[in-house]
Amino acid sequence: MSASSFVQQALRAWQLALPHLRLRAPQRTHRAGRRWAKGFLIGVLVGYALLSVRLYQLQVAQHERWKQRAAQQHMRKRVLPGERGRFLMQDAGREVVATVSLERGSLLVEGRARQPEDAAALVETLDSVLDFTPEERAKLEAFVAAEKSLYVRRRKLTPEHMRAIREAKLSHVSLSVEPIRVHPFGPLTAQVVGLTRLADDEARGREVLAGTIGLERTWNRELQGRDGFQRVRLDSRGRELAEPCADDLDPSAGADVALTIDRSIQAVAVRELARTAEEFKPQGAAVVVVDPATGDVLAIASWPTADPNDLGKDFQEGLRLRAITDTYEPGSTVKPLVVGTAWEQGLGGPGRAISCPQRWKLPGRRKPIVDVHRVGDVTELDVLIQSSNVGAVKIADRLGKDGLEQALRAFGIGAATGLGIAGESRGSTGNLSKLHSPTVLGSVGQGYAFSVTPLQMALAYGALANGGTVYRPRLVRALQAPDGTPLATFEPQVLSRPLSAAMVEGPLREALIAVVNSEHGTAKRAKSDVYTIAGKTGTTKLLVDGRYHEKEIVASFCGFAPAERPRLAFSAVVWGPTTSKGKVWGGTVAAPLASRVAVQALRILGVPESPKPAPETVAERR
Amino acid sequence: MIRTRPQTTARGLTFVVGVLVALGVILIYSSSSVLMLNKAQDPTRFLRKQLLFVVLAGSSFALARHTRLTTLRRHAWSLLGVTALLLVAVLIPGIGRRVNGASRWIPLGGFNMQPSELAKLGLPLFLAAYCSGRREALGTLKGALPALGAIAGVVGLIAIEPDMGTAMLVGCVSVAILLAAGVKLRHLLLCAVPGLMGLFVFALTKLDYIWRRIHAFMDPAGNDVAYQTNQSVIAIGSGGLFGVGLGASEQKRAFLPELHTDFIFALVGEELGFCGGLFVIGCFAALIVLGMRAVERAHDQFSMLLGQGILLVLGIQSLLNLAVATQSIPPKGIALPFLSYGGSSLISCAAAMGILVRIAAQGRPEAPGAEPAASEAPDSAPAPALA
Repeated sequence: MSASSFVQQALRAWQLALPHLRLRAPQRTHRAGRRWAKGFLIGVLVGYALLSVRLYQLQVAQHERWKQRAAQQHMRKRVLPGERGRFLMQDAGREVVATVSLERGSLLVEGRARQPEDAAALVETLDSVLDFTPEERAKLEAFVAAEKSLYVRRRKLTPEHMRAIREAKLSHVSLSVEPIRVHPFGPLTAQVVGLTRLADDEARGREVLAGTIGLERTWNRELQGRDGFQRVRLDSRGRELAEPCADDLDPSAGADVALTIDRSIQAVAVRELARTAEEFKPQGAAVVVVDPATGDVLAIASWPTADPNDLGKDFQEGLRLRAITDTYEPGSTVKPLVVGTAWEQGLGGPGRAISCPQRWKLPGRRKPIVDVHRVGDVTELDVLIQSSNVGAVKIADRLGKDGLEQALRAFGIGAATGLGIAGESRGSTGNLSKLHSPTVLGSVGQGYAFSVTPLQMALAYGALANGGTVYRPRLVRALQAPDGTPLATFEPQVLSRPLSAAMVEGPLREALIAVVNSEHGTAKRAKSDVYTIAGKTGTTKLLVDGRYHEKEIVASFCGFAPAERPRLAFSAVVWGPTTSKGKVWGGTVAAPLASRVAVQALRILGVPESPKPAPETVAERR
Repeated sequence: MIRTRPQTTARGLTFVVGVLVALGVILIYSSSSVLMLNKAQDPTRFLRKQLLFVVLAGSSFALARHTRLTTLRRHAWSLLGVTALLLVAVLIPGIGRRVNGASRWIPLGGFNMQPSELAKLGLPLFLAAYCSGRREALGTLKGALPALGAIAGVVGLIAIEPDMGTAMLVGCVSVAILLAAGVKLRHLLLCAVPGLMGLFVFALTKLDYIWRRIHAFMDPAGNDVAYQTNQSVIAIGSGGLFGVGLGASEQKRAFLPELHTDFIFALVGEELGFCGGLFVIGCFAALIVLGMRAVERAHDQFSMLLGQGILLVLGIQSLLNLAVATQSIPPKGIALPFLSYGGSSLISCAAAMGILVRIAAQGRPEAPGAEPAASEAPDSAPAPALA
């Protein structure tokens, strides 16, 4: 077929088709067509009706559900953690922060590296930012070499560390922020303040710091703040927008705990304890300094100690506050309490003559009472000054077994002081009721057969300093809001008044001054040129598992200063001191420690120096 | 039924459309002000553009309102030709613009033109013109073939853009016009079955995105494809009875993309609540009811078929849009007439409404069969044939 014939045929087909394609004048409408048209349009109306029902379902019936879904994606409730309260110490009339919460980064490296290059880069970057220990580095290198999975956690990262890691954009690394406790004075407050740990709090739905030991535990509830929240608008990718919302709740920090502890005196106590420990290599030691007028604990410290900011492996020992957890038999330091009570009850007097042979047998007691030196016929006052066991037992005998036990209890011995730190020992007077009378009288008169804590003795000597009143120890002065407004204050509390002021300020004070300052005294090493120290030494055998150790002793010194107008009462106890120089006892170990602490503490408090002739007058009058 | 005079029907239609367009402008400003603040720092950009479209749409409405129906009829072939040409052009790379894998737009100096919008008017106009004078011929398969061919061509061109929603819409409306024009249902089914099957196979094999959409519809939770409709339902559902208040939408902060175009009804639901939603549906229903009146009173086949086609395009399109927005059917991108942002849609819808209003105004005042009243003279006497 030629091309032209094809065109001709196509043209013919077109001409044939044309009448079919041409538009014709419209006809009238007809019923069937109208019915079709109406039917379709009614169908559309039915569709609208169905849609209205659907709309009702979504907007009225299911409204709450969709509203919630919308709120979920538009808003996020962000918890604003309420900060844990601080611990405050006194320092020259100001308050200084002993413990505070900070936020620190926490890094977690977790997972398995797919690409060895990635792993190498990860390890290199982490190593450059953080100082890894050799073990950690070995772990990381094993991770790179063998495609092992890795788990490394690092806490307490500074913001600089966090920034560096964040900028490196590492895989397998997650960063978070955790609260930590920081103790600016480290070992000074570790035993008193105690520790916290991060624990899940179901009520708050997050991890919070919870006190585990020390005052952190005691005041845990008060220290914890109230969490606030903030509703933040989110964008469509779930990122937070910085638009404030009306119904925010500001967080509030927990209460600050204001301690009675004086930072400087505490520092002195810790320093002097360390010095004594260096010199005598003891098993442990403790110093307590209280304000006799109120029972305020100005310093309470034990050796060994630990730095809560950087706890090593064996921190448990260092966190034990031996001043309240450990007991000892007080030995001669109990004599002023016993003798004073007997005098108070009219069972003798400081001027009365008493015969003190070096060995004396108490009727009914198997072992004789022995003095180190022969004291001979002296006044009862001299019994205290020269620390005669024979004389003390003779005087204790006048009180009788029950009277003696009452006397001890009156000074707070055998009962918890209520300092408010868990683990406090009550001391023990339990043996007294079990033993028969002469044994008790003989042992207690020498300061054996019952035990005390260093804190109890400091408070008992507080009574000798303040005119006969035993106070409950006060460690927490007040709870305060962060701005310093007090939320609760705690007043000094009187526990008992075992002695009269006349007795305390008269013969007992005279005796205790003489112990330190006269040539016959047992505590001459506690003597100070600046302040008149009054006190009594004690040396007892160290109890190890219920038996007396053959060599080891407990050396103690209790006292107050300045003697003429006491501002401090204190006790110093050293368990198991050893030295190459020779015999150790209360007078050589504990007395110098106590004296050094007392003198420095008095200087810190700005107490005027004692008048110079004071020791001489006492000595001369004797 | 309420008896109204043709002029009243015409005015009613104009008023309803005016209300919808005005509501659309307000909603577009509400929806896009936040979006624009984030992107272009210009909160009124979309508002200003839409206002320009409204002016253009007003002109196209007026033009259509004052164009004789005979003139329209005479140019039906040409309009179909232009439509087909543009539909082919949009597929040619370099002329058509591809967005998200679909070539639906022809850039025209700052604006994008959608040829498929033109097809929504062009094909019904052609079908009305072609069928109105040959009722008897259409009774045979041979007589119906040219019309069916035109439908297949236009719908096919739209389908391969691909724009399944519009293809379906145009196809449905065309079939409805043919039925009203006198094409036998069995003939239609005979042709439609292979046609639809072909379309279906094409959809299943070539366009896996349709598959994903169907899957997403079946299992909406946490599905990326269903994200938009999920967000739309959240918006509508959170609106409640009275809505969160005009301008107070949270979802418009980029949670629901295309809020100002295909999902403008979600904004209605969220800001104006169930009441607002019912109002919009009510407006569309009023449009259909008034339009039905006009179609019933139409002077001749051409007016009736054209009016029916226009009404069905608007009605079905609005139904599809609302059904997608309420997650009642699988998602497809289709604009809500008069309310959605977009020039092509608004201008072609306005032109269509202009034609419809003219048909309404020229309708017989009484029931069909009576002579035309003094309302507005018909453009041509029904009887004489056109040379």
